[in-house]
Amino acid sequence: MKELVQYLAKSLVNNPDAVEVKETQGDTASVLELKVAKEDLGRIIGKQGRTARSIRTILNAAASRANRKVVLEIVEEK
Amino acid sequence: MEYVETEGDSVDEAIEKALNILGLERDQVEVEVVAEGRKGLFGFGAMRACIRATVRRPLRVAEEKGAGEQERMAVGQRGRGVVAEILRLMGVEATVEVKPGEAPEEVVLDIRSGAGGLLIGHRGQTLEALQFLATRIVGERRGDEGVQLVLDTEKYRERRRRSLEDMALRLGEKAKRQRKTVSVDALSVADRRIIHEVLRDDPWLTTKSLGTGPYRRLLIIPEGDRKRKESEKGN
Repeated sequence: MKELVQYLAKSLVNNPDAVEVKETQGDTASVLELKVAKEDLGRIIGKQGRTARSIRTILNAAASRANRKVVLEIVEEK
Repeated sequence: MEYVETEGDSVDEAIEKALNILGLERDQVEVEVVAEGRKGLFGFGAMRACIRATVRRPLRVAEEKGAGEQERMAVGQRGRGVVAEILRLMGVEATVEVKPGEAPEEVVLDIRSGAGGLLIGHRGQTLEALQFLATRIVGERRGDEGVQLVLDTEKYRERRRRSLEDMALRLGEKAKRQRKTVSVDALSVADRRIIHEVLRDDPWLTTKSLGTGPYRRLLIIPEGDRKRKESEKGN
């Protein structure tokens, strides 16, 4: 799951080196925290959040195969 | 807009001339009759028929793109790599095949996998998400120009198209029967386009989209309705 987000994020942004994904696993659910360079935030979110929504959709499909739930959080760097 | 005006002894003859000049088929032009033409009496009072033929704007830019074929397949191959990698990371075993699409700028990536409906998702949203991200990653802009990636699996596109066509015809009948505008909401751009296309040739109906973003609705209007609105606008 982590690699999936990493791949998608790195392919979409201008600064792939700044992409960081942290995974916190619970019993049935995991939380993925995605961090990207500030200027790339828009590329990850997309117009009307479409890119972010698409990433979440794909993530949910992948997770449902493993009978898990995944939450993707996009974290803004300070 | 491109057009020609031609004259002839009859309207049909004038149309024939116009098509010869433009080198187009009858269904590629819009014909407006400027003057009907009259035979007159012994050549007196005779009037030539006159028509104006306007070139219909092609829905898709077809021709002129022999060289585009290579580019299209190249984009398709790049898309295939991206989609295959996403699927692998999703834990889905699949093969992806690159095919030319129906429209000249489309290239279809056909996914064969054991995952079945998983990749389609509710109302195709997963497939749509894959297509959107693959398009973004490959870096082709969606729009009039450039190559458009279309993802498909298990003939979903064709099935969806059929059910939308059925729906369009059904709603069209309803609009005519009740003489009321029927509205359809929450359709994707591609879905709406299919409905517009299906009903375009129905002389009794007009279709229109209203609103913006996710709230955009499609209206199916019985023609009588449209005429009334237009005459109101004229005042």
